[in-house]
Amino acid sequence: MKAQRLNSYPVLTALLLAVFLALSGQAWAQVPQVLVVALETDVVQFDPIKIQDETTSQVAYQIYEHLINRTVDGGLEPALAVSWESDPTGKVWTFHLRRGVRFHDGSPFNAHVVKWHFERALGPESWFQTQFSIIDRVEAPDDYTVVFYLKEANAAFLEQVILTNAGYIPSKKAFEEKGDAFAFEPVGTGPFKWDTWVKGQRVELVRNDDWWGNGPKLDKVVFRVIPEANTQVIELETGGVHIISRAPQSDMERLERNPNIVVLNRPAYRIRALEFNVTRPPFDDVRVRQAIQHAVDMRLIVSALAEPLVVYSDSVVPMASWAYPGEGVLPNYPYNPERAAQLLTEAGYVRNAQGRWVKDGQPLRVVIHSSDNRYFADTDISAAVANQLNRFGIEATVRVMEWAAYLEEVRNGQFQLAFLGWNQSSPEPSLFTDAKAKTGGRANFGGYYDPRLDAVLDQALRVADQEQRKQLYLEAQRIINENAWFFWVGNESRTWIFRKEVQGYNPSPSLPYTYTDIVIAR
Amino acid sequence: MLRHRSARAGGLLLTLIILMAVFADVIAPNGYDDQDLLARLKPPSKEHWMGTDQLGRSIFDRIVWGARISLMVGIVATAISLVLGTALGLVSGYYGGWVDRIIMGVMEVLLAFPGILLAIAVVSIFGPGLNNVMLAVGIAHVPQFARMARGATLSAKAMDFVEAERAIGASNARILWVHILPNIVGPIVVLSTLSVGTSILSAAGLSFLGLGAQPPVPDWGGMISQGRQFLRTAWWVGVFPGLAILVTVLGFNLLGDGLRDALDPRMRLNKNQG
Amino acid sequence: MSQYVARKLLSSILVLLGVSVAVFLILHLSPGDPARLLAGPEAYEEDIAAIRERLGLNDPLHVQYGRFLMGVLRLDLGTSFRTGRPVIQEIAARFPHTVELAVASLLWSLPVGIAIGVFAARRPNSPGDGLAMGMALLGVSMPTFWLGLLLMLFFSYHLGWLPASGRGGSPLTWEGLRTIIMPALTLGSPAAAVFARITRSSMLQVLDLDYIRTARAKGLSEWRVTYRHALRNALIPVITMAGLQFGSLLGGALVTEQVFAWPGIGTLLVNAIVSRDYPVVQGCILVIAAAFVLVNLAVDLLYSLVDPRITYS
Repeated sequence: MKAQRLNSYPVLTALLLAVFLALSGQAWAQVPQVLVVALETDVVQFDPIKIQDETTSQVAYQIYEHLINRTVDGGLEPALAVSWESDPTGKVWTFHLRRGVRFHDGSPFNAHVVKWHFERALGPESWFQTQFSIIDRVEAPDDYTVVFYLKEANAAFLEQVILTNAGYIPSKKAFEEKGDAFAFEPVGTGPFKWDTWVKGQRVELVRNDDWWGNGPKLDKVVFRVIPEANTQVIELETGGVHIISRAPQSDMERLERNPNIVVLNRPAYRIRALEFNVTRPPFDDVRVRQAIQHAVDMRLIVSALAEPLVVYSDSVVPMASWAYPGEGVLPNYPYNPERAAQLLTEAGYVRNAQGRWVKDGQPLRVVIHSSDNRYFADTDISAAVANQLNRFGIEATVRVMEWAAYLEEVRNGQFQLAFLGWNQSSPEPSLFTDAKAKTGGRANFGGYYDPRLDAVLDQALRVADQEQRKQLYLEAQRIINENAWFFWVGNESRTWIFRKEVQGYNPSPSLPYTYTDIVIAR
Repeated sequence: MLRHRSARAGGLLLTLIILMAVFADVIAPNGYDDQDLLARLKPPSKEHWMGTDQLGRSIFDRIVWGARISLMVGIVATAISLVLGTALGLVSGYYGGWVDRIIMGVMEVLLAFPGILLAIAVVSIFGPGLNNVMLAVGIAHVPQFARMARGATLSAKAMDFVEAERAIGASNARILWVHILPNIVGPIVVLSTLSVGTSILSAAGLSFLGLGAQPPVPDWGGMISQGRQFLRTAWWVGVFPGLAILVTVLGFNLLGDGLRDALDPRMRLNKNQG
Repeated sequence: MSQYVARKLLSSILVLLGVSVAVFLILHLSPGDPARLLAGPEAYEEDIAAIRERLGLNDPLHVQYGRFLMGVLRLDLGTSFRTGRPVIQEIAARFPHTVELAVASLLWSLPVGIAIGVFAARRPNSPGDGLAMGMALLGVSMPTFWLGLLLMLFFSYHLGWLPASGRGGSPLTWEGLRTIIMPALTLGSPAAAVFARITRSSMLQVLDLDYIRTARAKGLSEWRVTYRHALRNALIPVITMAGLQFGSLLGGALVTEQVFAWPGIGTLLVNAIVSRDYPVVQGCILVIAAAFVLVNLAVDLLYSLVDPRITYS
């Protein structure tokens, strides 16, 4: 007996071990897959027709979906619509919806919800009313077809309407049942469902098991609000978060060397420039605008102060867009002090005994408006430009202002030269050219006016063929640079810094990106 | 007074800083905006012995020139609160009644009001720049002076000789100017000295929020807050201006403490007894 | 006593009224258009105009102020421009965290500061005194975010003992306690330094008074003289300062909150100022000012407990 019992020990041990392994294996598999993402600011509210900030948009994209999505390389793919087409006039757009999709509250997704949503987005509550006013009406001929009738042909319809924040489709049932809470407990069709929101601290989403697509593999996504960049970096290094969106420029190199961390930088659809106010002297003279650009080595300034987060570029159309012709194609005004001096002399200025440029006894003075870190390194770049202008003999100072007051002064035209940016989440060139340089464009702050340009831009919206559009936008960019309205700084990148164990993450430079393919390796 | 150890140390530190500010163009002849984009964020070396900042400017040069700015901010802001606060406190304490109640009510409002909003308000109404930062910091510190001046006035008013002056019909202005003001000078000098240091720190805190001197003018607070992003890669950008503030505030505090000990009779008694 | 409290309360209400008028005027005089900031720089003018109208920003100033004041009387601070949520809710989600951080900071800085102050006062002008006061000066002069980041680098990055940032729940729980340590240390350091300096000078004054000399003459132990007799009276200015510090800590500690991602009212206020979210700014300031006024009233009453000679009529 005794011997037998002794003999049974190995068996027992093996058995115990097996049970233990099985249990622990199970426990292993059951460790939930939780992704932690750092946000700079708290989310605001989730009524799609009022989402304006990038933070909320990023979180909302995990919960809501668009009719169609942009792919990583800038193309389009089906989402809640399986296919779409426009008629030959370019005025009627038809979407065929995905069947069997349900919102997180169980209500069905169909054409009537889509029609209800876009009609709401066209209404007085909406912050997209004007942008969407190109739509004449929305129809739902059957449960799975939605038709948009436009007032006139618009090649940028998808960009201006479907792919915006207000293009997220929320549950109509939730809207009707929740009242005001609708904006704070979003219900969509997306890969993750709303779970909790601790204000000022974090937002938690859980997996939507009934999502129509493949995945998601994560059980949970936690967004943590961490305003300070240094803190975000320390949290990343100590494993407190998996993904951060910003780091001090000087830390980037150190992070890139860290074997546990991946750094991705991709040029985004974000342009930066010093914009001239051409409505009054001295910058109503194109020669002075050109001279300023020749007098400053912007390429050096950008590469020293802002790379890789800002990359020098020379056009209103972002480098990552199909309509950008490549560097050196467009007319430009590179660093060349002799040429600058020549242009100023032509414009009637002379260098006085102190080496300052004067005209009619008045020295040439430039005040550069800059906001305080609204755009990456804006203050430093402005200070460097001012320094180089001073060395060239043009008295330059910088006026740094808090954003709200800054926007007010710039909008009212109370500036000479202002550091400004323009962000879009799409390569569509009209979003840049028409806003910034067309007469009366919504971000045309410097009083730019050129009828030749307006004609080209109008034509480019009416043409559907992309190759033809590309030629027209090339012409537009040429006219803009000939006018020297903008002193180009470059394109700002989007940065993703994340821990190695986050696998399957392939973010795109245009905003929405999902966490559906991510797995956390151990 | 100057025999007092801490006052002497404080005075010495401040003399050094004041000399630095006065002779900035001799000590750092290249000025404060001598950029060299090819030599950015260089560590301390023989050439730039506090290193260079993100625009390739010598941090030492900027600290030397920044002394002018920081001293000016501290002194002008304190002057604003000193003049306004003392005047209000004197009037309030001397006249009493509803004048007192209104003035002290306004001071309470000011005390209960967060300084950040006040600063942002002043800067956004009057525009950015150092003058408005000084104004904001100065206003924020008015109640301290008003309270102290009022308290001192009340106790001076109760003294016999003031009563006597009144009895012979001296004018209010004369009583305030000739009899009460000299009696409250001591505590107010001490508070002012301490307040210069606090004002420099408050202004530095505002620079952290982007409300400070306009670039490229060097102010120490702004330099520290820029150095924040280089804390782990180029510590010298933020650490040296931080030390500059520390030494200056230390100087004013030592001087203030010393003055207090020297001017307060009770404290002197204590000293004598060891 | 109760009459005194009633009078104080009444004057506090007047102070708060003054604060609300001041905030209101400052906000409306400052440049910056809430509607434009809400809709974003990419918005169209027509949409911005519609938003402005809906927010009631086109009404005359006195109408807007009247609306705000009537709301306050009904304990309704209005609705946030930005989020569309009641301001009360926004504040309720943050103010308790500000209070707990302020209390935690005071809980360590007050005893530590007093201890250092007493230590220094018992040996004035000795090397020990110099060291203690030197440390106190450092504490006052050190920029907050330096201290914060250095603590974070040391305790989180190098030692891995504490989570770098965030709030891990109630400070009475283990996780919560771990997250409040560094912010409280950062926020309390300058306060501790101030307490140390005040305690020292106040002790020095009291130790010199007649009754202490009498006590010494009676042959009471130095320990008993210092702690039973002198400290009790020396604490009065320390309590005043503690009240002032606590009151201003309740105004939020912007830098500490930012560095440690602490969800307090300071960050809420500054974000609201930056986006010109008038109702939130007004609400925050009113709550902060009310807290400040109440704390100071409480301090006034505390005096009578510490020093029975003070009475109120």
